[in-house]
Amino acid sequence: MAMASDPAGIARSPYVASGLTTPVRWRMVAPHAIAWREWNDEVVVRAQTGSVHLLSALAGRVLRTLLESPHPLSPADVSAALQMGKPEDEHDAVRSAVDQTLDEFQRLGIIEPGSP
Amino acid sequence: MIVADLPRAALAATLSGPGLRLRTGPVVTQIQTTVASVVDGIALHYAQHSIEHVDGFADFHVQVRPPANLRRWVAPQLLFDFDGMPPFRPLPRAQAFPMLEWGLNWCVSSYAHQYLIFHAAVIEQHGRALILPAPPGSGKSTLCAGLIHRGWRLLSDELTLLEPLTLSIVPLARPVSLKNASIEVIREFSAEAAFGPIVKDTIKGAVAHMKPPVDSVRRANEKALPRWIVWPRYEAGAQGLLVPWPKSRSFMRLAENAFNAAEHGKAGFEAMANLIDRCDCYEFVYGDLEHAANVFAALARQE
Repeated sequence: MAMASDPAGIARSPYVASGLTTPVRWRMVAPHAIAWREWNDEVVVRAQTGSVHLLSALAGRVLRTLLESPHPLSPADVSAALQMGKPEDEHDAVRSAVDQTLDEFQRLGIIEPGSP
Repeated sequence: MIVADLPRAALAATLSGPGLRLRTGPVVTQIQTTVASVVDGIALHYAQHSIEHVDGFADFHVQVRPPANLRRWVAPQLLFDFDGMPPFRPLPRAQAFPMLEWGLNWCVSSYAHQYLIFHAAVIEQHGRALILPAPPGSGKSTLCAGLIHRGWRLLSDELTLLEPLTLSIVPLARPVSLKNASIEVIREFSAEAAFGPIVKDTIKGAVAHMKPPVDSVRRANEKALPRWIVWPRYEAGAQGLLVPWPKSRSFMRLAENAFNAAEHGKAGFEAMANLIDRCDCYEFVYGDLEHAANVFAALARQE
């Protein structure tokens, strides 16, 4: 995962919000307002805004993981759930894809930061 | 009472006086006009449609009328009025009947929100509906016009009305709008096809309306359950194969062809997803209408 450095040279993950020491955890924005349907590994989701999106198989699994979790999840939590059963040499690729998916979900208003 | 019960003079008097309360499927529209080509168009295309009592309820009140300015006389134009307001710019007088048809489509797609409405033709056999959504120019209406002369019942050429809770398709059998080369294609395809005059130089090119089959109009109360969604596209020389199309992609394309999904919110999403669930979805690129009719006849024979 790419890391950003601040002027003091301290590595800072993009998932560590300024002034915080714990990674951001994500939860669904009003899960009751989200609608989704899966056909053959592809997921279609309706965001709270009413916009509709076609998700890849991986993004669909990220969505389900967040929907099924009773508490907010960190990117590492989500990645761990998706890495299960996969060979170790694929873990970095999964983590990177999860990071991108979470970014996109946040942009679409599907997820929001939540307290652990 | 149906429109054909009225002699031409009585129809013209009704349209120029209190208005004709015309029932098209679930919709009653009060139409007023003094324009002869509109009277003729209604007499031809809506001959078998029911007339409601003048004191009854009308969903929409529309007029096709000349504007109050000089364009009443010079290079004459006409306006489509909806509840006393013209939602569109005026059009040349020669386009009067197409303007009425486009206006009626606009009324339904803008206000009939008890339905989920898709820009799609829809036809039926044995109670099972085949939905043909597609953007303009794809050959949707040509295919629809061909198939309703080969055993399929017309539910609608332009607007598919879906009841969100029951997933039934509600018929709205009205004239089929054909454009440019499609007009001649259908004339040659079926001797039974009855057309109004060709109106040239519209925004869609040359347009002619084909009268809806009598049986389709008479069965306007018979709903149908969707069974297939087919994405048609005309391409000269194409083989005409039904190619399975992923449901997720069909959902997204259907959403693009929905007029009022936003009005239905989350329930609309669920209804659309349920519609996709119960349908087989295909893409169909065709180049020959007779071959296409055979392909869909075989599809209709499937369990």
